[in-house]
Parts: sequence; structure tokens; C-alpha cells
Amino acid sequence: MSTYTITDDYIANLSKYAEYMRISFQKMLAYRVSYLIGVFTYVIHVAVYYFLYKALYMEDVTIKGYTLQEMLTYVSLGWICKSFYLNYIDREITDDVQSGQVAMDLIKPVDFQLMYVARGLGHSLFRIVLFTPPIIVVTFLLFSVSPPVSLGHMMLFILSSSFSVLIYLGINYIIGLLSIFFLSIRGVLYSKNLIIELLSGLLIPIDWFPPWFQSMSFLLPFQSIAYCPLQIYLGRIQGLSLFFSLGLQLLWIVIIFGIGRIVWRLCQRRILIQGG
Amino acid sequence: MIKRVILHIDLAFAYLSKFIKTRLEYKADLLLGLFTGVLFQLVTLIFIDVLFAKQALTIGGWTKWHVLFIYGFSIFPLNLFFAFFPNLYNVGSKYIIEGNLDRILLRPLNSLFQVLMEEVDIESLIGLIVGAGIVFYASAQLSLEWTLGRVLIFAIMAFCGMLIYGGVFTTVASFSFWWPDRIGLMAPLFNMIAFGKYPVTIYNRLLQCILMWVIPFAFVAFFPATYFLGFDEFRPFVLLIPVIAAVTMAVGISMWNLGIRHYESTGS
Repeated sequence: MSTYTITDDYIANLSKYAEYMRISFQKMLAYRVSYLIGVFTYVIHVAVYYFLYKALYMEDVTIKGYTLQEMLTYVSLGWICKSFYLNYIDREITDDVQSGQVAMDLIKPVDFQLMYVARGLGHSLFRIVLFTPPIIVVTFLLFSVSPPVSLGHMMLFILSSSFSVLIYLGINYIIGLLSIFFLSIRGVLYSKNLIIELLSGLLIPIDWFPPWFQSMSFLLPFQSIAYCPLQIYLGRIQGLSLFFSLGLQLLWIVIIFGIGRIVWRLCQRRILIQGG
Repeated sequence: MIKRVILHIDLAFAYLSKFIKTRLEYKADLLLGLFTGVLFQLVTLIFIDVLFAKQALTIGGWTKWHVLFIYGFSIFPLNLFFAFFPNLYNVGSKYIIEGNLDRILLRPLNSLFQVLMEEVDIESLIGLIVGAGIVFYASAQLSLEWTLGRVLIFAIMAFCGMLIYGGVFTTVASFSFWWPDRIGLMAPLFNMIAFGKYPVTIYNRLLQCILMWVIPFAFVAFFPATYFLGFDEFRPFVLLIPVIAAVTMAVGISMWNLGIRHYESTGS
């Protein structure tokens, strides 16, 4: 159409990843029944912890510095966040490795990590546009959820939870690559979800844990996924430490994507050895 | 009839030994599977431990040790179910859409039996060791007495629990005969298992009713555990456990058989 310039090339380069994102989005759109049932699934998740915490707070007004209302908000918001930072690229990588599709991807002029990141962002985009809103409505109707403390906190919460999307994506990519080293990692994928639920503070706030655990989780990326944005929403971190938490999230994004690239390089060697 | 049953039992052992042999071929995978299996159980254990932030806290009157006991018990039926029924998840995709069911139907053996035996997840059984540890620890804290009879009842109830899960999920898997492209219902039901890990009395009436009479997960771990914990007010429900297990499994098998009759091969 127009004359081909370097900028066009650059845009074409970007748009191929946008294309992966678009396809991923459309794939999700194809499963409408699963979608409705998925909303219901989140209601079940929240309900379990809603009743647990309600029963726990029978006599006490505050436990570990949280009121019941804060706890219920924490849990509900936690699952709302999960409804959009979740993606299944780990499973996609595993399937591609097992079906041999990965060989086709290797000969394409695309960056392997960016391709899956684009796909993952496609998932998240789909979720945030079509999946999360009904979950928010149902959760706010069924369970008692407080509004954010201020508009500023709301904006920072949105920023922080978009960082969560990237952190989760980076971790999932690394886990997916494990399938190149192991024959079947179905159990790992299943357990991974549960372990991240615990270590990210989704099930229970990190500051409920014993001190040694808290300092350990400070050295791990998981608390940046759920605990950090939720603390911001509840207004439990203010001022300088708020920006410190956001900075920590950014740092983790850089580290995790760096590790992802290193692991991929190791995997390439492994794929070459397997040959054929 | 009896000959047929014996044949199936013989074959079950043959299938199992095949699985153990193949698993032992891939040692790294096996170790990874066992490791994550243990980790998986530890998550809820840690959660419960942290949840009871103060010694005096209870959830609806249930102390930390009661809750741990119930959780410890729940590991048994759940992991037995994970071990022996994982293939139910593949009925729609692998067996109906890909047509593997035709191969199954050609053999003079029970079709559900074959589908179940074609994939056994023996790694899940590692969870039972963790479960035994939790039950043992909680019993010591509650100073519960264990006799051979009680151990036997424990085993029977765990088996009944496995059958309840098995029956419920066989029923849902059978829906694939009518709608092969939807495994959608499996996921929310799977998540509902979480309700059964905790004392059912903490939920509202509606949810309690569902967990007892619609999707009877309350009978999998909570009611059995009350027997060992000595809460006699639940005794009528404890006595119902084998009945519920038998009925749930019967519903599952009937739905499966109906589905098989309805089945038309994908082939051309």
C-alpha cells in the first residue's frame, strides 16, 4: 500500500505480537458456556472464604489488625483480581511442547517469550473486558465488599494489579517451560495454582503469617501478585511505603522476565539435543 | 457373573502394575509428582494453621484441632478419588470426540471400568501419608483413642467418600455423551470440593442443604470426622454415609449406561 520504511517495519514487528493477542482473545470468546460457568466458579471460591472468615470473627472485632469487613473485602477483591491476572499459558506451552507445535514456533521470526506474553495479555484483556465485570457485580451483591478508601488508592490499585498481570505472566511462562524438561507436569500445574494462592496472600494476608515467613515472602515475587494491590485497595499502606511496594513490583517484573529468557536459552539447548 | 467380577479384579491389578512400571521408568517425573503432591496438601495445612491466629479462636465453635482433623480426613477420600478417577476429565475430549470409546466398546469388559483404569494417578496416593500425619497429630492434641475397629471404620468411610466423589463426577462426565464439547460443569464442581474440607455448619442454610442432598460433599469428610471427634448429634448422618455413597455411585453408573446407549460414534 504505502512505501515501506523502517518505522513500518517496526510497527509490523509490534503488530505481529498484537495479532497473537487478538487470536488469544478470540479463542476465549468461542467458549461461551465455559465463560458463564467460570463466573459461577469465582462465586464458589469467594463463598468458601467468606463463610470461613465470618465464622472466625464470631467473637472478635479485629484479628491481626483486620476487621471482619476488611477481611471480607480483602478476600473478595483478591479473587476479583485473580479473575483477570490468571492465564493458562503454562498449559499452552505444555500442550505445544507435547504436540510438537513448539517446533513450528521455533522457525518463526518471533521472540518465543514475547509471543507467549502477547497470548497471555490476550487472555487477560478478554478477562478484564468480559469476565471480571460480572464477577465484580455478583461479588459486590452477594458478599459485603467495601469501596476503596479513596479515588487515589483506586487508581494505584489498578496500576498495581496490572503489574500483577505481568508478574503472574512471567512466572507462568517459566513454569510452562518446565514441560521441556519433564514428561508430564500436570500435577505441577495444578499444585502451582494452590501454592501461589497461599504465597501471594490471596487466601490469607501475608501479615497473618509468622515473622520468619513474612521475611521469606518479602524475598519472593508472589506477594507482589495479590497482597500488594490488596493492601493498597484497603489503604493499609500509605505514603513512601506505597511507592516502595510499587517499585518492588516493577523490580520483580524485570527479574522474572530476565529469568524467563535465561530458562528459555537453556531449553533451546535441550530441544536441540532431543533433535529430530 | 462372579467370574466376570473376578476377571475385572484381575485386570485391575494388571493395569495397576502396568502403571507402576511405567511411572518408575520416568524417575524425575515421579519425584516431581510426589513432591508437588506433598506440597499440595501442605498449602491447606499452613492456611489452617495461620488462620487460627490466636489459640482461643474457633470457626463457629470448631477449634483448630477439630478443623485440622476434618481436613486430614478429607485428604483420604479426595486423593483416592484423584488416584483412581482422573480419566473422567477426559471422557468428552479423548473418548467421545476423538473416538477412543469405540475401542473400549469393542472389548467384552465394562466400559466405565476400562475408562477408569486407562489412567491411574498413583502419585496422588502420597497425599495419604500426609493425611495420616495430620490426622495422627490432631488426634494426639485432642487425645482421641484409636482402636483397630476405628481404623477399619476410618478406612470404610474414606472409601465411601471416594465413591461419593466418583459418583458425582461420573454423573457429570456422562453429560459428555449428550454435549461432548462441554466439560464446563466439572470445574465449578471441582471447586465445590473445597466446601467439604471445613465444618459444614459454618455455611448458610441453602449451601448446607446443597452440600447434603444435592451434591453430597458433606458426607465425604465432615460427617465421617464428627464420628471420630465424638460429636454424637451428627450420628444419624454418619449412619447415612454408606447409603449416600451407594446412591451417588448408582446414579453415576446409571447415567453412564444411559449415555453409552445414547452414544453414536463420531466415525464415518
